[in-house]
Amino acid sequence: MTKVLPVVKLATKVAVAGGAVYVAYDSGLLGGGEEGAVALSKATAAIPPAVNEWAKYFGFEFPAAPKVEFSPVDAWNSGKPLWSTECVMYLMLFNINYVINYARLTSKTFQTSFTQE
Amino acid sequence: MSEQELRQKWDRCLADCAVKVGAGLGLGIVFSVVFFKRRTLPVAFGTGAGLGMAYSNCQNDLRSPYLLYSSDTKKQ
Repeated sequence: MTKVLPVVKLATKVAVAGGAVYVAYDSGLLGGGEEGAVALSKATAAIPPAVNEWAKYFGFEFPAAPKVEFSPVDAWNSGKPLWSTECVMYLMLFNINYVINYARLTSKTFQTSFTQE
Repeated sequence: MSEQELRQKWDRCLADCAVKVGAGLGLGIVFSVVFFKRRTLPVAFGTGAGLGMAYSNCQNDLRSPYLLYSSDTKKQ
């Protein structure tokens, strides 16, 4: 009995770990890129209703999950200036103009040249 | 490669990355609990392997229009 028990223990452990790997592989979590995307879409479709059902069972309710609509291609620099880029450029120009004008108005050289005229 | 196609590929890449990292993390946790007395090494290894798989898949996906297959060259 003392010799069998460790073997059974190890066999159980191997079975649990192997089962986890098998389930992950079988559900397409370890395959190619398209399989992974399909698995994620399946999971996002299946998990929220299941979570809501369990939450109702236990008597509380989760707030609705925020919808994230972001594609990295929108952040791609395709040569077309974005609204934020235009804002930054405008602010930079405004600042440069402001600094030049301030320097002109306050510098002695400008004032002397102005009075000399 | 059109912009729409590129968009789809990037979306697929991000989704695949989330799936692979999650799967690697989960398997790492299982292995950590079952075999490694709750050490963090298998978790880090699983997450890293997941990231590597996602990177490789993404690279393959983005390079696919420029890949030259031997079956195509033999036809010519």
